[in-house]
Amino acid sequence: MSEFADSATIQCEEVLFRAVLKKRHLTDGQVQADAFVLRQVDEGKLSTYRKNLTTLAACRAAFKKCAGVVTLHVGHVRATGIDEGLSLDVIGDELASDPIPGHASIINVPDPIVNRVLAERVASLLRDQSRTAND
Amino acid sequence: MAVAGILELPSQYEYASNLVGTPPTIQEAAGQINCTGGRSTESECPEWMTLYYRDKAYAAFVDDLFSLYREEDETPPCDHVADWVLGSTVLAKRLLAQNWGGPRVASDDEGGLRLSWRAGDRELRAIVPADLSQRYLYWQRGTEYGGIPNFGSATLYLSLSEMNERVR
Repeated sequence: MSEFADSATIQCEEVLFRAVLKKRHLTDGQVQADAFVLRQVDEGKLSTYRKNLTTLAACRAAFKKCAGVVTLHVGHVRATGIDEGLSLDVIGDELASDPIPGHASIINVPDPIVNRVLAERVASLLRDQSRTAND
Repeated sequence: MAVAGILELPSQYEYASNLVGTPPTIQEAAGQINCTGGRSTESECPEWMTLYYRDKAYAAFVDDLFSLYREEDETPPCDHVADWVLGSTVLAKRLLAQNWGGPRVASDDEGGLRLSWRAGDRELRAIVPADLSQRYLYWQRGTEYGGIPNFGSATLYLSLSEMNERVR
């Protein structure tokens, strides 16, 4: 576990990059809610990178195929779903195999298998607060 | 429209070309198209295919769905999921007619399909996983949202109709 592996080290002011790996998750430059729904391979967390530890170009290059990158504010992510009783958080989650530094995970995202309606709702909220990252 | 010699082949011929690479059950549903564009099997043509030939908007949706089988970054849906989605969208298209807006189609990477409609602050998502018993509709109107489990074609039609009504 890295020195960044706790939520206290990630300030609410920080910005995250989230790579959008599928073309169909971007329509006319706008990310779709589908990009924020957990899949089994996600192991319960959404993968992101911290903008202050990596670059947009590096984030794009880290993936074999990357349709685009969107940004999220950590503070907004943490506030997502509070009305629904959720407590989303962002934690440092860098692994030895990560090709670029600054990997962070959004945790406490509803699992669509357990609570599908809430999972879709949170996906909508994350989509609405995300912005397309430009060079 | 494909042209062979002086004969203008019917749209079925074009559709057969779209089916390249699609799963066997879909191929079987489509039946073998002979060189004159006629159907060589005696099985009944699925409703969605009849609609495909007659309706450009629906054809665009079907083409979009089948292109999932060819896109490198997509996981093709299971045959039975594609069959179910095609079969259950016909009623909505027929009843909504020109008010039908084709959904955005994506795979869920686990053999299922996700269809999404959006109009203003209203959204409808038909989530059809590989386990069809887990299918559901997710709807959203501004800050209100909810889900409808185990939906069928009639519920899909009603939900789309309601979404269109409120937007108009």
